[in-house]
Amino acid sequence: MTVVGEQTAATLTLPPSVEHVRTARLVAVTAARRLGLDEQTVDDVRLAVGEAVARAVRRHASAGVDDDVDVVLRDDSGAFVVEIDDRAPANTPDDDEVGLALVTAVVPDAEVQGGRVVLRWPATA
Amino acid sequence: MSTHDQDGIAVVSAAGEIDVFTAPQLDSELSAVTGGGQHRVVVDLSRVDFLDSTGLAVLVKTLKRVREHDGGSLAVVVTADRVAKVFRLTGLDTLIPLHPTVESAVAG
Repeated sequence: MTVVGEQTAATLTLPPSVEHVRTARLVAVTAARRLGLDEQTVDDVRLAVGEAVARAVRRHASAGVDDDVDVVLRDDSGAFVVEIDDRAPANTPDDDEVGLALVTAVVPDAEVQGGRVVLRWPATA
Repeated sequence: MSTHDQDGIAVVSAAGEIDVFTAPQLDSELSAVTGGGQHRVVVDLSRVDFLDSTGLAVLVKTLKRVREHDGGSLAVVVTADRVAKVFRLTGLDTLIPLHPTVESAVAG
């Protein structure tokens, strides 16, 4: 964990293999709880981060890319933001539409652009 | 992962987390069951606390297989809200009935 100014951020660098998806979920869940998100939202974080990182791993496998996947978790003025960046070419096809459908169903603000997925949960009142 | 017969129905029990890493184990267990000629299947997820889209895909694949046979059926036992939610969000609960216990799933 590194602390930058008033914001807390964690960066996770993962080899692109399926056994590491669980690690990303655990780190995201811990960060979400630390930020005080309720347990139902924590469940959504677990699901969405897992799906987004699994997508990145699949994209790497399909493009034959061995580079790491970056996951950045940060507190943006009380909003919880998770950024997943993969190194597969932007146009790498993704065959799992269900995974992304789940992400958009449980994240209030989800942005997917090629190999970059940004998940944002607003600050709790 | 284990399978037992209950009233002529194969009950496949899984535990822990079913995700992109562990779903292949469930897939091979279910493939062995259906490949062995058993097409009435209950998947007991009562000891599963996390299920992702990969796990759902395995169940959809199994549903397609059992439906190819007369009398084929697939039901799932789910107790965790977190797991039930992924069925609801994808609408899969309208295709695969969710039950609170193995007994009710086997009874249909």
